[in-house]
This record gives sequence, C-alpha cells and structure tokens, in this order.
Amino acid sequence: MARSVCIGMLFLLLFGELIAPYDPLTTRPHIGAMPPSALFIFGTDTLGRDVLSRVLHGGRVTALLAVGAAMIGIGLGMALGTLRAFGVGLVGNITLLIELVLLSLPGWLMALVFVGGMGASWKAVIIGVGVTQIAPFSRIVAMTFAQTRTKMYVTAAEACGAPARYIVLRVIVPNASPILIGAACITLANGLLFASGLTFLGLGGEISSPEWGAMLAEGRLAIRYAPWIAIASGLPLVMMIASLNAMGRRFSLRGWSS
Amino acid sequence: MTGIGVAGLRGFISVWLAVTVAFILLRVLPGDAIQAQAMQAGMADSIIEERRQSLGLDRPLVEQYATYLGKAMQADLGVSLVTGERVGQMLMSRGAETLRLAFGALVLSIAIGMMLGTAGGLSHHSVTGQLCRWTIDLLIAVPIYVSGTLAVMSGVLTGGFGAAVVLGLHSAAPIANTLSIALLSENQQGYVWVAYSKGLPEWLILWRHRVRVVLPMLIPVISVQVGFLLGGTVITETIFSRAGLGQSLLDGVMRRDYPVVQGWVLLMAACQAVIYGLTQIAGRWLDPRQREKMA
Amino acid sequence: MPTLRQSNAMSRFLLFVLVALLVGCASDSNPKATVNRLVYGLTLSPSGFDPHINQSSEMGIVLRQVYDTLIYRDPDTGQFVPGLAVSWSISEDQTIYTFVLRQDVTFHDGTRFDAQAVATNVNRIVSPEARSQNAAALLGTYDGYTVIDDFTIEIRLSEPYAPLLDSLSQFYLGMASPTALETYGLERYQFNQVGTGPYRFVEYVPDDRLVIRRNPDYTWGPSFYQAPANGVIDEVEFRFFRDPATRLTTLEQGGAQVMGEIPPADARTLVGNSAFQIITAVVPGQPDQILLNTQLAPTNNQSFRQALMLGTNRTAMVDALYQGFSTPATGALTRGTQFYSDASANRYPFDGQQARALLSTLGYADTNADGIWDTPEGDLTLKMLVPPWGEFRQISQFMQDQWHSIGINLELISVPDFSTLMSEIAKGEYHLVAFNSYGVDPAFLKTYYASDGSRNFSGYSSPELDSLLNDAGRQLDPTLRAALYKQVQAVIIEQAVVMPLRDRINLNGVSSKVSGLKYDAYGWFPVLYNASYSP
Repeated sequence: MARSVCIGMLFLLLFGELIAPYDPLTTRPHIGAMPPSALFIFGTDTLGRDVLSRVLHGGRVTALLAVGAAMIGIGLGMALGTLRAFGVGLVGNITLLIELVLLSLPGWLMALVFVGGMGASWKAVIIGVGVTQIAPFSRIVAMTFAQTRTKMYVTAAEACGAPARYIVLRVIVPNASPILIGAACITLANGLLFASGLTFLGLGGEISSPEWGAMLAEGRLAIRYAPWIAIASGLPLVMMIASLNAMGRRFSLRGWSS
Repeated sequence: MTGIGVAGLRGFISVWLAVTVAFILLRVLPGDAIQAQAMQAGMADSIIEERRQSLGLDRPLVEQYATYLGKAMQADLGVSLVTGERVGQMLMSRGAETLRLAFGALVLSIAIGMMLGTAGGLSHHSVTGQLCRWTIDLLIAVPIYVSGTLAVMSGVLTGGFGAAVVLGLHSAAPIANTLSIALLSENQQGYVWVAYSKGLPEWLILWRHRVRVVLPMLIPVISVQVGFLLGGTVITETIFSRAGLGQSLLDGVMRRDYPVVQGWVLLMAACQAVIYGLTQIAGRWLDPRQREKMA
Repeated sequence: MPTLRQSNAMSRFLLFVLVALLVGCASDSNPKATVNRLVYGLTLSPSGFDPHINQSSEMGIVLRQVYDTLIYRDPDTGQFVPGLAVSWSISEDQTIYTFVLRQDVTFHDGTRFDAQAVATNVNRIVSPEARSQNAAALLGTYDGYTVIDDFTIEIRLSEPYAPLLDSLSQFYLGMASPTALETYGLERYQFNQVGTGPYRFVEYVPDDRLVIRRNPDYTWGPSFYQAPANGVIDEVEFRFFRDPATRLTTLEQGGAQVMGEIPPADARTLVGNSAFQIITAVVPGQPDQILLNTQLAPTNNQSFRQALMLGTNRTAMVDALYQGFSTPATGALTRGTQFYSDASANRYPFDGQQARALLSTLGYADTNADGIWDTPEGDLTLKMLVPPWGEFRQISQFMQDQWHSIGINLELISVPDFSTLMSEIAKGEYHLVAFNSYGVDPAFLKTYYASDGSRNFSGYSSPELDSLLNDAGRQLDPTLRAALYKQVQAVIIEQAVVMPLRDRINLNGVSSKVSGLKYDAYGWFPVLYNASYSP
C-alpha cells in the first residue's frame, strides 16, 4: 500500500502544477477564508488564495526540500559513519567527536545560522536541515556496519582468509545496503518534519511560496475558523512521511534476513 | 590508557569542541544582545557602546573566548547579558521543569514503544501486526506541533500532563519502529522456530523471549530520544506554555544572550557524552557478541 | 536473564510507575479557591520584569496594578489627574517641575512614601549601573532634583521637555519602596517588588507565572479608581501564553479568564457566545505601518512612493485580516492618539490605474510585456524586511500580489528575530520595513522622523520637519502643540514616508463572569482595581 501512495505522490509532484485550477499566489481579500465549495475545492486561506492550487504547487517545493536536505544528510552522514566504523584509533575518535558535537548543538540553532547568514530562502533551509541529519544518519551507518560485522557470514569470510577489502566491499556493504536505504528513507521523512518545525519557529524559507510543511504550520494558526487549510496541507505531508517510513521499513527488513 | 580514561578524555574534548562551535556560531549571527535591546528602546549609539564595554563585548574575540573558558572551568558560567541572572541557576531551574517532563515522557515512550513495537513485530500475516505498523507510521508522521495543538484543544491533555503525553507518544514512535523492524527481521532465526514449535501463541513468544534478544538494538534509539527530550522540546514547551530548557535556549539565541546559549550547549554536550558512555556500557553488557569486535 | 516470573513482575511494576508518573506530571499548582482568584493570560515573556530597567510594555499589564505613579491619565478624557502627587506646578521657563506629594501613602512593606522615596527611585533609574532600557529615556532632558521638604520635590530639566508629565504617568516610572530597592539591589529586585499600588506583588517565576494580591490598605488611588460593590478580585495569577493558536482554546476551557492578543479571526468566533465577551481598547501611538526607505532608489523618489501608496488596497487587506476589529490607519498616528489629525486621511485612496499611470510618467516601460516594469537591472524589484510578529507575514504576501498588478516585483526578506532585523536595517539594503511604537504623547515621532532620530529607518531628512518636531517637543501649550503636530503629520503623509496599515487595538477575550474591566489611557493596561469577577 505504501508503494501506491508513493507513486501517487510522485505523480502529484511531477504534474501537480499542471492541473492546478488557479494561480497559487493570487489573493482575494474580499473573500477571505472560505470553506470548500464548488469553486474552490479545498477552500481558500485567510488571504483568499485557493488551497488546492497551493497544495498542488507546494508538492514540488516540499519534495525538493526533502531530497536536497536528505542528500546532504545522507551524503555527509555516510562519509562520517563509514569513517567511524572502519577507521581505527585517531580517525575513529575524531569522527566520533564530530558526531557528538553535532548532536549536542540544537538543530534549529544550526539552521538559524544558515537562515540568518544566507537569508531566509529554501536553499538555506535545505542546508540547515541537511546538516542536522548528518549526525543521526552517521550514527546509524556506524551501528549498522558494526552489527553486520558480527554476522556469521562475515566471520565465515574471515575464516576463509578473504582479504579485508573483499570482506568490506563484497560482503558487508551489500548486506548493509538495504538497511541503509531504509535509513535513508527515514532520514528523508525526518528532514521534512524538521523543516516544517522550523517554519513553526519562524525560521522557514521564502514566505509566499507554498510548501506543505509551511502551509501546515501556518494553517495551524487558523485551525479554529479554517481547519481545511491545515487538513489539506497536512494530509499529503503526513501520508508522504508515513509511506516513506513504511518503505524504509521494507528495505530494512530485506537486509536483515541472514 | 584505560578504556574509561579514553572515554573520559573523549567526553571532555567533545564538550569543549561543542562549546567552541557554539561560541563561533553565535558570533556569526548578526547583531548582539546589547544592540538588540538598545535599538528597540531607541537609545543613542554612545550608550550602546558604553554598555557593550561594561560587559566586555568589545574585547577581541579570542580574549572573550579565553575568559569564558577560564571561568567555565571554575564552574562559573557567567551571567545572562539580558537579565543578569546567573546562568548556572537559570539552567538549573529550567532544567528541573524539563527533567520532570522528560522523565514522564520517557517512561511513557518506553512503555508504549515496547508494547506497540512488539505488536508491530507480529508477522506479516497478522492483522494486528499490520494495524500496529500503520499506527507507528502515523505516529511518526504527524508533526509534534499538530499533535500538541490537538491535545490542547481537546481540553483534557493540557499543561504538564498533556506535554508529557504528547512527548511520550512522539518519542514512542521511533522506539516502536526500531523494535518492530528488529523483531520482524529476526523471524528467520533458529531459536524462533524452536519457540513456535512449542506451540506457544505468537505474542507470548515475542514478549517473553524475543524482545529481550533485540533489546540492544533499542539502546541507540532510546538514547537519541533522551537527548531530544532534554534539549529539543522547544515546540512542545511553546504550545503547552512550559518554562523548560528548550524555550530558554530559543530565547537566548533570539536575544543573542551568549552566556546562556553557551552554558546550555555545555550542559547538553556533557549530557550527550554521558549518554553515549552509558549506551556503550549497556550495549556491551547486553550483547556479548559485540564485546569482542569492539576491542 | 530474568525468569518468567520476574519479567511478569517487572511489567506490572513498570505499569504502576507509569501511572504514578503521569499523575505526578499533572500537578500544576492548584491553590484552594477561598479567595476570588483570576487567571490573566499574557502573551510574551519579557526578558526581565523590572519597570525601571526593562522595556517590554507587557510588564505594564501586571505592574500597573503594583505601582502608583505621581500622575495618572484619566482613561476617558486623557487628562492628567493627581496620583501620588496632589498637585504640581511648572516654572516660567518650563525647566522646573515642582510636585507636592500625598502624605498618607505607605509602601506595601510599611515604608513611608515621601519626597526622599521619589528621589531614590529617580536616582536608581538614571544610574548607569541600572542600564535602564526605557525609564531613563522617558525622563528626557532630566537634569537633577531637589528635595524641598518631606513631601515636596523639584525636578529640573536642562531644556523644556513637553512629554515629562506623560512619562511620569507611565508605569515605567512607578514608585518603588526605597527599602526594598536597597535590600534587593538591581538584579534581585524584580523578584521582590514593592510598590504602593492596589495590588501587592507576591511572586515572579520567569516564563511561568506572576502573582499579585489585593492591598487592603489602599485608599489613595486616582479619581477613576473605584472598587466594585462585590466580586472584588483578591488575587490575580498571570501566565504566559506565547502560542497564539491555543489562546482561544485556553480561554474557552477556563485556563484563563482574561486572554490578551487573541487572533482577530479566532475572536470573531466568540461573538455570539454569551459565556465570553470581547473587550477592545485603542492603543494610541503609531499604527501598524511600513516605513519606506527614502535613501535607496527607487523609493527615494517621492512620486514613486506615492504611486506605491495609491497601488495598495489597504482597506480590503485590513478587513480581511482583522475581521472588523481594526480600522485602516490613515496617517502617522493612530486615530484617537493625542494630537491626531485626520487632514490627510484620504490622501491616497486605492487606485491601481492611477498608480500605473504615475509609474509610467516616471519613465518606466514594460518592454518585454511580462507585466513588470523594466529597469537596466531587470525587472523592477523592491525589497521588504518582514518580521515574524504581528500579521506582517500575511500583509507582505498580500502586498506582493497587489503590487504585481501594478507592475512591481516585491521580494520578501524574512527576518527570524529582532536582532537580525536590526542588522538588516543597519545594512540599509531594503526599501520597506515594518516598525512602530505606541504611546499617548506623540513625542516619539521625533525618533522616527527627525534627521538624527534613532529609529529613523526611512532615512528621511528635512530641516523643515526637524524644526517642527523640535518645537513640538518643547511646546507645552496643547493648542500650539496640536497645530505643530498637524503640520508634522501632513508633511509625513504628503512625502509618503510611511505606509500606515491599521490602527492598533488591544483585543482581549474575557469570560462573561468578569465585569467592569477597562483599559487605561495607554490602551494596553487593565485597571484591575475596578473590575469584578463572580465565578
């Protein structure tokens, strides 16, 4: 089921903008926040903008945000975690230190530095969120490699006298991969959640461009008199994250069976 | 050097590094505490300069850094640039509130996480298992400011109690997730078939035997949650109007109250180092296999 | 490995601990309700609560009840009425103010109130160690005092300073007990405040709550202080509610009986509800407004700025965002502020066509027909600094769309906090910025519009305006002052230095069991002495 949701999402993300009935930025102050109707299927927000169009346009920004942040988090996290798992002595210790430091600094402080320094743009948010995902992902990478090492097939390979490089590249990595892919999915999900939390704290990206997390954080303020805003933006976001998690789980499971 | 000695040194260095990074990051942010206060009140530049001098903010950065470190070593974390309160005291009183919340939330999250995770570990054919897995996905996916707002609106889950419940549920999700994955993956292991062959119902097997085996895998997740509950709960604190550490940090950063933020990071880094050490010990104690590999 | 029996016991123990902890967490302080107690919702937590030192006006909601001031403003007429001072006189050259004080006043700790007490307070405020953020500035050209006798004191100014009486009626210059000031010093005093007011300070737990309790000995209030016949409020607990989304809910659930700053659209849902009332008060001062940078092209051109004013439908915007609770602002001052002049109220009615016409006469052309005027650097783009507070996020998005139709690209630069806003302003690379102040005496206009004003973020500089503002700041005759400020407002609007948005009102949701709740002349501060609560 998760798979079909993801495919549906993909479709939305790629073609959403084409089927949007209105311009997402057009304000209609004389209308204000109207509940769903024939004219506006998901209703309008406080400024009279069509919620459906904003959600459809917002998918792309949301996806870019997630992927961008994940690439940074996963890429650098992978590097750091691998170094920690296989590095000995000083290298291992230094990478551990880096990880610990990254974990002690509050995520949004780091994000604030980027947003404050580079100006509030999606680029800054991507980098900021990406940086916060490095340490958690690196921790999972290191742990996964450490655990895979304890598996029977590794001991077997060592007993056969296989060279270290072979063991790492041909035995450990392929077996750890599915778990790591699963963790990557979860990192994507976490990135989205975190970015949306940033908007709540006032550290989001460009103000007017629709993005699900930002719309949800702002829709929350209108939840008493215009709940459709939060629902229309929250549902796709929640579904996206939930199915990412489910997919992540599926991948992880494939890796564990030995 | 003994293992503990190395760990201690590592912890010390990580705390020092964290504080240094925080020191630098804060100075990178535009503006400083005095300027913000003064401009809001419409004060003359000369007064701004005067105040900055009296707080030592006009000294070269390296000197400010050295002074701060020197004092920190003597357990003097300085005073808030904004309120003049002693940073150590401030952190302790906010910390008390945060600890209260964190403890309640942690217990709740472990309890729910274990139960939900175990049920989620029921094999693929089981309907309960599937339902639980979907529940876990949902719990993970709902942003905490949504669940927090809904909780307050319900009228029942408010105040400290509501905050603990919301945080507990939020933290339970990753624990349950990891547990269910671990259980599902170990389905193929030999000892599982032995238990099944005894004719015991699946949930009993899970709960009595298998969970114990996968406990070591939960340690990293739980430690991450502990870290989160101690320092990352600013959103929840805002929604439930709790005066905790998260909010004091947010205010500190927004007001550029350097000593408060630096003191906070120092505290958190120390906690992280301690948590890491504990997880290492717990990990080795619970899983003999890892003991040899990590020598 | 624990045995089966042990793990059974463990699970049960775990459950027990769990329940116990949850019950424990539910302990919020719940004092026995034998006193008439009210919970009042504040909306932001200031960094400190000392009236002499800190500057957040949120403090005043609490401290106005704890402190008396030498003078008060009557909330209905706006006139000065005696407070701790029974009478006052001003010298010929307007630099010496003599105050005759009441002789029957004691502080909450028993200390006698007298001229020496006033002197101690003033000394504290102006001392450099206090680092006063507002109170000292309110004293203006203060130049010292002389204690004439036990109950007469003279305040000296180096130059005439018209707003002095206004300053002395603000809670920032409330009179604190010299004994307490001495005992607790500069930092601890905010946790142990002692005044002469109708309520005694009980406790302050930062970010958590403040508690005040009725002063039974209070008999020296100003003329408009009248205790209700019944339902006297004995105790008030102030709590902080920083999240606007849950304020209405908290009010409805009884978590507070008075809740400040309810979002207008939420307040609208209370309208038919008989269990609650909406109490509003006009906050005099500057309206919510956007300053235009006169030092950066193209907003350095007066006609360009005027085109912007014409091209913005502020009425529609205010109606949509404030649900009828606020009126569109018309000038540099909010309607109802002292010396407000509506002469230029309709100077810029919304007219998109005229705006476009004006822009094209300035030489702009749209050569690539993309709907936006062209410049040598590309599309005509303006930059606006958008702070996270107020409804500026919404307002700026609305303006972006509006200006798109008159051919201007508006780039919204979001600033996450006050410090960043200040640095961005210092850089000067913006065309529009939202900033304003509140107050009854328009003397603060000087900080915004004089050439050397510390908050002159529009960079506007004109000798004519400077001298007008100067004179108005020294002129004590109200009629002459009114005329001067009328001119000031006319110049500001004609030059289109500021885009006024909406008159500020203080919007409170209040339980219907509270009656007689009124706000003072400054708009923000309730007169709790007069209110009654019948739970």
